[in-house]
Parts: sequence; C-alpha cells; structure tokens
Amino acid sequence: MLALILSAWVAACAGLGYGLLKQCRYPLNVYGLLLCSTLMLLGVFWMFPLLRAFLGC
Amino acid sequence: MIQVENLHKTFKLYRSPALRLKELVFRRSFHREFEALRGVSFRVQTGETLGIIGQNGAGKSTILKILTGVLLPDAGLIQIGGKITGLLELGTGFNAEFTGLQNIHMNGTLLGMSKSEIQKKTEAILEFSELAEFIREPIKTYSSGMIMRLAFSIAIHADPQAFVVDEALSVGDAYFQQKCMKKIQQFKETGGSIVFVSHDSNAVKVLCDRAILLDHGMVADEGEPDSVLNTYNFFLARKAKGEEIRFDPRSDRCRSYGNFKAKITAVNLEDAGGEPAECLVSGAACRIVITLAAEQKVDDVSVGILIRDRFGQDIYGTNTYHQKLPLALKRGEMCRVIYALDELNLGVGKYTLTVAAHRQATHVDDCYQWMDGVRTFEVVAPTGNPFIGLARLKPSVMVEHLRRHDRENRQAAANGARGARKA
Amino acid sequence: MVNFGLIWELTKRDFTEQYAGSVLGALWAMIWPLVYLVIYIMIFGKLMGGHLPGESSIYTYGIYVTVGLVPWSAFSSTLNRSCSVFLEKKHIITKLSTSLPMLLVYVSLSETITFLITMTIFFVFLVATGYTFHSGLLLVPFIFYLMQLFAVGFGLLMATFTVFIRDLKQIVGIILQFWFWFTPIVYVPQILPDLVKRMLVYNPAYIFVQSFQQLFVYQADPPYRQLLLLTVLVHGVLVLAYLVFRTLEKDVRDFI
Repeated sequence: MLALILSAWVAACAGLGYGLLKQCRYPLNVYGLLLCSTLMLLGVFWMFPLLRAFLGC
Repeated sequence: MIQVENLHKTFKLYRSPALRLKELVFRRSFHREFEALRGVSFRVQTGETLGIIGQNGAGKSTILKILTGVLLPDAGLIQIGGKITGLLELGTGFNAEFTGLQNIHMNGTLLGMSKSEIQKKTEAILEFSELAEFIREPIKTYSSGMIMRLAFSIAIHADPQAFVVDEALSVGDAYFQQKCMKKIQQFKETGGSIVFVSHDSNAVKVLCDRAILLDHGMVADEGEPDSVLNTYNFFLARKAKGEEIRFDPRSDRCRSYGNFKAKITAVNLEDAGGEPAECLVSGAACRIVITLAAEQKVDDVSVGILIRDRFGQDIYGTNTYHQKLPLALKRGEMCRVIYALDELNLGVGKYTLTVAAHRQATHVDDCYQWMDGVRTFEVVAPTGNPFIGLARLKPSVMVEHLRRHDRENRQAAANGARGARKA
Repeated sequence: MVNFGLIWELTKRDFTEQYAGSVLGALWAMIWPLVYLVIYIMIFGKLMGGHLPGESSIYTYGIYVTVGLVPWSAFSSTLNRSCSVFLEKKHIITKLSTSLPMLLVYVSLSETITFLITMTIFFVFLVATGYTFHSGLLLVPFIFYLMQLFAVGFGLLMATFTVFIRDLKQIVGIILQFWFWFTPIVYVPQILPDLVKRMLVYNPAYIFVQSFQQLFVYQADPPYRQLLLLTVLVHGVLVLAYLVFRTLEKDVRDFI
C-alpha cells in the first residue's frame, strides 16, 4: 500500500515534469524539472512518516 | 533553409584560462580580443549550395562551428529549418574496438537519430557503405577508406535539412566519391541546403550555386562562384605585403589588378595565319602573344596564361616560370611573350583567356598584373572527325576482326602457354 | 536539445568500452561489486571482528560499512568524474552540438547503474542471511536520488571551473579523501571528539550516509528534518550551478 502511494506520487511529479518539458523551451524547462524534483522529494520526506503511522507498518 | 544575420563572434585570448575566472571576480579585463566574425549575413535557400571561401583565419571554420552549434555566437540570428549535420564530424565517437554495427548506433545517436530511426536505416546504411560482412567486425580491422565510407553513409542517412561540408569530401575511392556526389545531388533535389567550405576553387565552381568570400570576418563579396573566386584571387595577390595593389581603372572588359611594376600592354590571340582571331578551329595552330612593358626594373618575371571554360573551370594554365624561361626586364624595357600552340586540342565551346605577370611560380608573392578573362574565344569543330567533350584526344582507331574458331585457337594457345609456364 | 538517447548510449558505452575485447565482457561489471562486498562484509565484519556498540550479530558491522561505502563511492566517483567530463568528451563537444549539462547526467547515471548492481547483490546477501525487511527501506531510492542530484549539481560547478583551472580535478580528489575520513562511514560517530561530532550536522554527506545506516542497520527512521532541508539546499545548488554554467557556457565552448 505504502509503495503504491509512493509510486503514484512519483508518477504524478514525473508527469508534471514531462509536461513542462514538452511545453517549455530549453532554458526554461530545466528550472521546471528542478521544481518538480523538489516537490517530489519534499512530499516524500514529509509524507512518509505520517503514512507509515497511518497505515501502521 | 539557412538564414544567418549579422553574426558576430569575438574570441577572448587569455594567457591562461584561469584569468577568465579572475575577470569574473575582479571585474577587470585580462584579455586581448580577436574578432573572428564581424557581422556576417547570408542565406542558403532550400536546394541551394553555398560556397564559403576565404584565406586562413578569415572566419570560415568559426561559421561552420556556429552553424553546427558547437560554438555560441556573441550576437546575431541563426535560423535553420530543421536538423543540421556537418560532414566535418565524420565518424565522431567511433571506437576501434567495436563492430561497425555498434558504431552505427553511437554515431547515429550523436547525429541526433532516435533508436528506431537508426534501426530503420541500418539496412540502407549497410547497403550504401558496401561493407557487407565486415560490418560485424571491429572497425580496427577496417582500412581508412572503409571507415570513411561507413562514416559518410551514416551522415547522409541522418536526414538533415542542411549539410555543412568541409574540404574533405575525398571519401574513399573514385567510385565511392561519385556515389557520394550523386547522393548529395539527390539531397539537394529533395530540398536540402548545403554549405561548402573549401580552398579548392574548382570544387567550389562545380558544386556551388552561389559563393561568398570572407575576409577578416566580413563578407567581402557575394554572388556567382566565378566572380567571387576572381575576387578571391585578387585578395590573394593583395596579400603580398607592402605593395599597393589596385584595380586598373581603364579596363572594364575584364578585371585587372596588380602593382603594375610591369604592365601587360597587349594580349593577342592569333590563328594559324597570324591574324587576330576570336574563333579558332579545334586542332589547328594558334598563338597567344602577350606584350609586356616594365615600369620598373623587374628581375624575375613570369608570364602566364590560363584558359577557362564557360563554367569558369580551369582547363589549362602555365607560365614561363614553369616553362623554365627566366625573364628579367630593365626599367622601360618591353618584350613579347609568345605561346605558340601547334594544335589547340580543346573541345567545342566558349573559352576565356586570363593572362598574368608576376614573380616566380604563383601570383601570390608579387603580382605585377593579373587580367581575368582578357580575351574570349570560341573553339569550333574541325571539318572531319567530330567528337564531344573538353579535350581533343587523338586516338588511332583500328578494328581487328576475329573469327569464331580463331578465338578458340587463341584461347587454346593461351592455355597451352599457361600450362607450359606451370610446367 | 535534450537528447536522452545520447545519454543512454554514452552510459552503455561506459560499461561496454571498459571491458571491450575481454572474454567475460560486461560480466566484469558484476564481478567487481561482488569483490567489494566480500571485502566489506567478510574482511571488515567477520575477520577483523568489528562490532557496533550494542549490536551482537556478526554481520552488523559488515552491513554498516557496506551501506555507507557503496553510496559514498557512487557519490565520490560521480563528483570525481564530473570534474573532467568536459575535457574527456572533448572529441564530441568540439564537433557536434551537445547539451553540456547532459554529460553530467550521463556520468551520474553510469555510477547509479554500478550502485544498482551492487545493491542487488547486497540484497541477495541480506535475504540469504535472514535479514528482516521493513517498509522504511522504500525510502532508499529517494535518498540515493537526492544524493546523486547533489553530486550532479556540485559536479556541474566543478566541471565548469575545471575548464578554466585544470588543477581543480586534483584538488577535488584531495577534498574527497578528507571528506571520506571525516564522515563516519567505516567507523562509528561515537568515537569522534566532541567538536568534530558537533560539526557533523553540517556535513551533507553524513546525512545521506546516516540515513542509510539508520534504515539498514538500526531499522530506524532517517533524520527527516535534515533530509527536507537538504532537499531545498541541493536544488539550490543545482540552480546556482546551472546559472553559473549558463554565464560561462560560451567561454567553456571556446576554451575546450
């Protein structure tokens, strides 16, 4: 379950990043990608302990 | 299509690269500047070949590198309608340990092909390169010609919109070169543009539709390859230091320039009867008479002729230096140099005659006078023995009739001889 | 401009080129990590009889060393190779239009693959010795990703500067040596003097290593707060590195 939620989160962020990559021109999308990456990691490190406590595993 | 507008590129020259960082920190300048390109603009239409000529350091390779994206310009606009590939990077990323097939993958990826694209084209590349079963061998076993064949095949199949070609189009043997030329022609017909950089005047004349001449980072001349190359020649002459080279204002029929230490006062073309002629018969005798007047004392003059066809291709050229005819003139002295041709062995067509007087072997050192296309003449067919082409070769033709059993006899004799040799 | 095919092809080259012509070929890429693991676990853990305070299993010290050393070597190799990547790939950069930051990604990817191979073998070992897995290990990829991101950002800065100051590669090598011994990877932090112990908080590499050690050895939580901070910091470094690179890109290409 935990793994599922994590992969869903990663996929969402990756999707966002891919969207930015396709939309924006070259110098812009680097910052876009970095923003997505920040979001993803912050989300993981913040959610993980909460999720573990919630799911009890 | 390639469009370049007002391209500027300055190289900063540092004594050591670390000074560039020092510059950032201290906000002071530690470099000398070298302006490689100063506002270059040109345009290559689809299906057109543009030749870029110029002396070393004129900025040719800088343009190529900026076009292919290896260097970044300081200012200016570059528009390329699609992928651009250079033939100057033939075989980039080749690794001798890997097989031809593996190298196709690497080189193809470097040229911007996707994986599926490479897979689709591998067949065509193999066929064009004619490497057959060698393709599964490491390329360290290849000859250099084979490597070039493979590299060119990959490059041409990368489907660029524009090609940037450096001098080295001498890929492999004559057969493969022709195949490449055909492929390039095909590429042009399907709307590809080519930028061709070379020192080789004839290659530019043959390949290019238009040419530009670069001089010190600026476009000095632009137009038909013929006229641009003539300007280039003039620039070469001017290179001789300390001499003032100027155009002769009086002549408007042809382009004439030099330092006029010695002047060409007359150029005459005479037919077999010694009469001035503009129409000569192929294979007949003729004379080219050049009158020279020395304005100053010149102790080493060579007087040369150059015949070009209507495409501007050099057909024949020589000078008195190469003919081992040393010539020295005192101030005010005049002389006539006569080139007598027993047989004008040229094909039918229009030709131009260029004459020059300069020191030693070429006009680059010290050019007294150079006259481009001073005479135009036409070569007409002789009454008998019609032929086609540029050169009038004189074959002696004979026919040997062979009867069938005669041939068999000969074969038997040959076999017998071979057997005898073996024994 | 962003040519993923090229990154992948270069990475593949890294492995095939190194072992091209040898009999076992790419299998060597598996044998080396195995050798290292045997050294870490058997020699460090079993023969030298290293023990962690408060742990009794004979393998714990071996595991402790492994989960510190394997990520560290990925990090330090990435950084080390990044320094010279522009000069090393000169033959490509000077002839074809290539995105230079992509070369950093390729170096990192190549080291990541080595890491993955080693970790796979390590996990097989863990299963064999009856290690109890817990859900916290799901964090491992994220922590490793953050670490490699740090290496790429730092590496891009160094790669750019190395073009101008060639000595930087050696200097980075020396810094990495000191960095390694000042990070509790082969020893436990408890043995350090107080002053150095307090400084450890400012060592980003220790936060990564510590996270791995907590997860694998003590089956505890990694320091979440530091990881969150580090996430922001690492991305800050990346943005900075990219900005510096953009201002110097023209010169980098001219100098190479």
